[in-house]
Amino acid sequence: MAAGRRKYPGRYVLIGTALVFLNFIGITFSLWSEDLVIDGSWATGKVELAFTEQHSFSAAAGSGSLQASFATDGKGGPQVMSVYGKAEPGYEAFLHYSIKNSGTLPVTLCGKQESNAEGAEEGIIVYVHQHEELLEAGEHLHDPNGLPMLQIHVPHGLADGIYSFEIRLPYRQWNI
Amino acid sequence: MRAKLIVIILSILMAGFLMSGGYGLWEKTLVIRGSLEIARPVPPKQAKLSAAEEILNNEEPPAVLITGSNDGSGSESHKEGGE
Repeated sequence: MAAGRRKYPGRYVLIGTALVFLNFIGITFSLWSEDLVIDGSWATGKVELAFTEQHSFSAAAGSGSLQASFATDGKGGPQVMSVYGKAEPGYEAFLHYSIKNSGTLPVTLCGKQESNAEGAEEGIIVYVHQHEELLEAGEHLHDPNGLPMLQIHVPHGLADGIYSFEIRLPYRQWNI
Repeated sequence: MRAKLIVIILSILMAGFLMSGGYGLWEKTLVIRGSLEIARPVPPKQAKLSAAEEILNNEEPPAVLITGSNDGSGSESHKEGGE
């Protein structure tokens, strides 16, 4: 019997080692799952302007009918305003739109005054009448008879057809 | 050790400056898109003519033909007699 015990001396060592390692793995796993969680967040301000659906048209000359619709990307308010409709040559209209600061930081809306026809096809004349404005968070910019305002002018000699334009109104953080 | 600490602090300061500067230069835009259909007004006479032409072109011929009938009171009818 003594010779048999001497023949397999490592059996108890193996079992003991396995138990120690199992304990070690179990304890380590439990400690790891509790302690190695880093949960942190760093919130920055939000720079966001949006159109509101509050708007009004006023025709200055000619005959036509315009409408406006608003599209949003789902994050905030609408960032795209679409103007569409029918008009005859000689038509002129003003669209008084409104902008709201839907972010959490003050924002500077860049001013553009009577100079912007970028994106307009030859023939239609589009002006943006808008001062540089500082909008506090939540502030609303609208005047039903004043600025900001979009002026659309269709010259008398313009040929029939569909004319499109696109104007971008940039804004940035207030302290730049 | 002191040099390492200075490098770490400077790195943090630089990161702060760069991040705030980049964030500040970030610019967004609102977009106004427009699409206008321009059509000249049609003069009234031309409008009437074109409306009439449209009716003539589109109207199907009537299914029943209407024919006239002679009731005998006209001057063309004569009775020939031997009186």
